Amino acid sequence: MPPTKDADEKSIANLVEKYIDENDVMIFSKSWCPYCKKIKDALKSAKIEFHSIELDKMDEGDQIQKELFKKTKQETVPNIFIKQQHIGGCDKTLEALKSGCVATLLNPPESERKHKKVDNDDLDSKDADEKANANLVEKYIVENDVMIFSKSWCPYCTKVKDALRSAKIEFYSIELDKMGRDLSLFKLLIYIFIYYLAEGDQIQNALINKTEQDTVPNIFIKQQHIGGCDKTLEALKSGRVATLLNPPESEKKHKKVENDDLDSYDYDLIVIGGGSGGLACSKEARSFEKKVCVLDFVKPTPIGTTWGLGGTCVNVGCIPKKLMHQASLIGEYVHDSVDYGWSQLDQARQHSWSKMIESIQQYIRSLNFKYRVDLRSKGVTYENSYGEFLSPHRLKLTDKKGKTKEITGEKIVVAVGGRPKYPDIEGDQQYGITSDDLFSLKYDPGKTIVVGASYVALECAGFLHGIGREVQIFVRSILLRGFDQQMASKIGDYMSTIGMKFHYQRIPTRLECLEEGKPGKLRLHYRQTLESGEIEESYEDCNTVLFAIGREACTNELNLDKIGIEVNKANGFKIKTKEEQSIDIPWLYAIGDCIDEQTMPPGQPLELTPVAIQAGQLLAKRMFSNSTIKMDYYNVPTTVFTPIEYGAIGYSEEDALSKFGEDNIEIFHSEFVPLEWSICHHRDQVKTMSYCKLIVDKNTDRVIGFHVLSPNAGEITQGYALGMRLGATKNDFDMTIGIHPTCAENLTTLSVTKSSGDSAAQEGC
Amino acid sequence: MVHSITTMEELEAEFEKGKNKGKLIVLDFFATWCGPCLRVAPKIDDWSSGEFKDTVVFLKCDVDQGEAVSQEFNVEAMPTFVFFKDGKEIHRVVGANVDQLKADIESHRK
Repeated sequence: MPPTKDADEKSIANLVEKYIDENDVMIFSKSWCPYCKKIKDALKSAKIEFHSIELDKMDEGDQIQKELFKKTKQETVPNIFIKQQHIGGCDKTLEALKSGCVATLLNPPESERKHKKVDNDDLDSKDADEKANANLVEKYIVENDVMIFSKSWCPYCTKVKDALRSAKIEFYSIELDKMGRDLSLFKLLIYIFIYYLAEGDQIQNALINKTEQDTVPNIFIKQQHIGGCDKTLEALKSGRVATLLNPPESEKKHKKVENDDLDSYDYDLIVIGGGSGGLACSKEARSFEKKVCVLDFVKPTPIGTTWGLGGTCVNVGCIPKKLMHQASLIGEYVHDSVDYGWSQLDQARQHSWSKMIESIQQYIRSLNFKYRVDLRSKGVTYENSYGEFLSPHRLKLTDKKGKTKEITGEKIVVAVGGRPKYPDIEGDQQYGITSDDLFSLKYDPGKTIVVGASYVALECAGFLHGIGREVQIFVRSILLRGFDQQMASKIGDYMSTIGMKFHYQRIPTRLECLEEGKPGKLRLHYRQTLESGEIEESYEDCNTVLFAIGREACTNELNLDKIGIEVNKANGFKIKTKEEQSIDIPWLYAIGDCIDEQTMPPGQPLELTPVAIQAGQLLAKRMFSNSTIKMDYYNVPTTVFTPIEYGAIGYSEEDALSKFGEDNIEIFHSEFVPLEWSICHHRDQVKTMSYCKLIVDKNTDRVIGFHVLSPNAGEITQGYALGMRLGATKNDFDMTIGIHPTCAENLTTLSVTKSSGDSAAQEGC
Repeated sequence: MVHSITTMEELEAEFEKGKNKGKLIVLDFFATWCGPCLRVAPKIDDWSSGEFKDTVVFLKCDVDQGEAVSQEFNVEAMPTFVFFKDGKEIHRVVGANVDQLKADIESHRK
């Protein structure tokens, strides 16, 4: 019998309640689910009676599952309740069984009060309730150095409390399962300003809003959200708890200093830098109705290039790069076209640099305009001026005409990003260019030498070659430092095979101009270390030299020293932050490429637009609401848009080996041939160069590293990033059905391991 | 002839000009990087020296050069054609629909 549309939500809710109320042990189950069977077997062995219903065999099964999700935020089965308490799924119930919690629940000792669920279908005062609960949670957190939101039957809560007692650390805990309308008079008096008496469940909801953590114990120390049992035990072990409870003298500086504060400020928030991070942060701050100002100013490059609002990504980064990468891919498709039956496309192939630049620049300028309109419509004040610090909270603004003015901000976010470095050799700034100039270059670059082996260097070299310019790459030591080196070397192999010349151990020493022009003729002198160890000095002539040797933060001219912040060349002039707040100055924050952030995985620079955007948004929420949600810099997906693209998530092989040890990881890999290339003669030599690997933690089967070298790796990697975020195991990857024929499906059929020594080449379909 | 303006003062001056009094004034907000704007501009040029020569005044404003003017009129997309009579906005057309624009000019001309 099909489910009736009339079975309304209320009657389903009532049905669910009935099952829970009428059975001491209630299991919402599905007949085919192995975890359901597992927990039922365990309960049977423990001679514990239970009632279960099989949702897959019921007409209203789906609706019941939806109601359970609404009620418990758990969408899986088995979903188990004991004496009306929501326990969880199979694992949680097994734990509760093992720890004796189940027994205690079923046979509570006389002295414990029974908790009855109190009805609360008063939907009108829901908003007022939410605010009251948020306030109550804040009060608990502020008034207690160590605050534990707990549940009496929860073994992890007990564990962490025992640990704190052993360490002789005082704490205050409230048992959310015991909170109800019968609070003692004592508690009533303490929290008398809140006239609505809180429910444990609603406190748990308020905690979820604040911290994204839905479990207990939920622990705060000196108002800092620590986490659950494991994180708190770690913090105890590492000494962090002690430090939080007794900060050393120098850290006390982090408290608001009397003489730094002003009586009033022009703005609640000033953001220095109108790039990905700065714009996102400022717009988010406006949703809290704060007075916000964004400063953006582009100092021209040595040859005079400049651009509009939007930062690096929009003007001289991701956007034009991806468009030029596309231009080069189209060139390759034209070569492919012959085998697909198209005629004469290949012979007629011609590329106009100026036409490509015109199209791209028109698009970028429309984005600049769109961002200006966007800021205006959201009520953010935009100043096209260069900002420098005069004193705490005070900035001097200089516009392009040289006019100055001063503004003050209660909070200031530095989001100035970075600019390409020059190698500091004679002629570099005069005759050389960087990516800042390349994307709007008014003349065809001609024969180009790319100096550097960063992803910028390889991407630029890649598309220049793809649109038909002669390219040489001067590499000082290795390709793509910081990236998985096996993948880096495969990229190098691919690029060499399609005709780009790499020169290793070659360092430029002087750049000379032989002939002026657009482009002119240049001579790049270099020093090369040969295989024999000898050093050879020579030169190479070309039309353009593109320096892509790394980037530095633009913090040097902000006068940060006037507010007590030092930056130095050793870490690229980045501002040291913890959770995007300056470690020296509490009202100063920073996001994006210009930060040296303590919570980022070491050695992996995450100078990416989406990282800056999310960090900026979360920061604004933390600055102007009671959110404590922090930026998670782990498992950030990235893609290098070289001629064959490389997508990665998580650990490189080197980092995985050093962190986990060879015995604890397994690497699955495979070469493959993109179907679309298999019939193209022009791809014969590179057909089999596509490759993917998964790095797996043997102990948990979790995939900790994802790597794919393939056409469209960017699109492929984005999808799998969701799986990685949810903690996918190798089994999850294997059980995911692939889509055929695609390159992406190869990640679902990996069986050959590196340790087996078997060939990773693919056979057949 | 389509006269270019970049400031509110210049626009006001056009409203005050003797020979413009009583006429429909059409102000074309455009951008040099906007494809549709470039396509519709020649048509407007033709109209200004052809069929609408004596009855309609055509002006143009580059949004990058005349930022203040474009902000004053809340221009968010280009091209935007703002129609004025006696110094007041009476109508606007957003987009490069030439037929629509011509029809609107005809009907507001009186």
